[in-house]
Amino acid sequence: MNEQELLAGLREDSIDGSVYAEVRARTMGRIRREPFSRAALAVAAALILVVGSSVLLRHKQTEVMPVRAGRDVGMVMPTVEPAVVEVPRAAKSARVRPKPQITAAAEPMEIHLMSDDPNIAIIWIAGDTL
Amino acid sequence: MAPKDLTLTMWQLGTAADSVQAIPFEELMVRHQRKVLMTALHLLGNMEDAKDAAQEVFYRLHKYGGGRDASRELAPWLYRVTVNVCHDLRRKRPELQLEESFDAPAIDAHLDEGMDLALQREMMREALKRLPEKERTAIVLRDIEGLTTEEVAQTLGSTETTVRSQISTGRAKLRDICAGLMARRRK
Repeated sequence: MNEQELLAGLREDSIDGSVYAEVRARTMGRIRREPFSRAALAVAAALILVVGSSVLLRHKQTEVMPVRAGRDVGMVMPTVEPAVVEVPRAAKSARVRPKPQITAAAEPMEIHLMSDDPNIAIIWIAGDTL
Repeated sequence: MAPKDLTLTMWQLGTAADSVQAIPFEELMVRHQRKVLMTALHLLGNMEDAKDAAQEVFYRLHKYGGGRDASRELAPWLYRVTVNVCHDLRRKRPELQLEESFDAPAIDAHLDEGMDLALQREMMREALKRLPEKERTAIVLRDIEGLTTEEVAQTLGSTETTVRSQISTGRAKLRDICAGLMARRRK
């Protein structure tokens, strides 16, 4: 018997009916499960989005803003120069130039930021030094 | 035309000869299960993988089969998908590659003619596993499934000349492999 006849003989191979039934059942089960698995996937994706966005939002709200020197809200900055100085008129006869005299004590400046955003530099300065 | 939304209940099916008819999908599987499972079995060489492949083929039929023209025969489409699924399975599982060890069954000196034929067929199955994939596919479709060379070429997306060459080479290799297996058995 040559190989072609032998190969043609393999056409007569038989498979048990239970195997066919198993394949059909597995296929039908997979097809029926498909909509549920799609729905589960969609729900999981939506859940991840919602939870993720809320966590991000909360993180943003509680985030400590970076503090830059002199820009903190309500920070009191000591003044270096006296706020009010009076320069007396020089006497005609005086040889020495009169020095400016401090007439009022310097008040600390209180700088308030109008915004929490460090990129916005709208401030107002408290006190009557300006 | 096939319906866009396929249901599990009714399927549009037809051939060039008869009109399009609607049949339940499960019945469609019953009609074609033998050719799908047997082809997969001969291509893969073991039943468990053949079952996985057949399940995947029918799943794809349900999922993508709506795109095919219902007036055309389903068999060529199924053969093509079966070959592709088996190819994918083999690529995913390298252990499905050629099995080098072949333990020939112990031969009884008083084997009758029928048993001898069964042994020869078993040897042929083993020899098939050792063929390169393309030649094995061409031989399974042409010699075992009985497709014409033209149909095999269409299924494989190849030319008839190429298929003829693959079949010729494959048969010669089968002959050699069988001879080798026989010689090993006689030792």
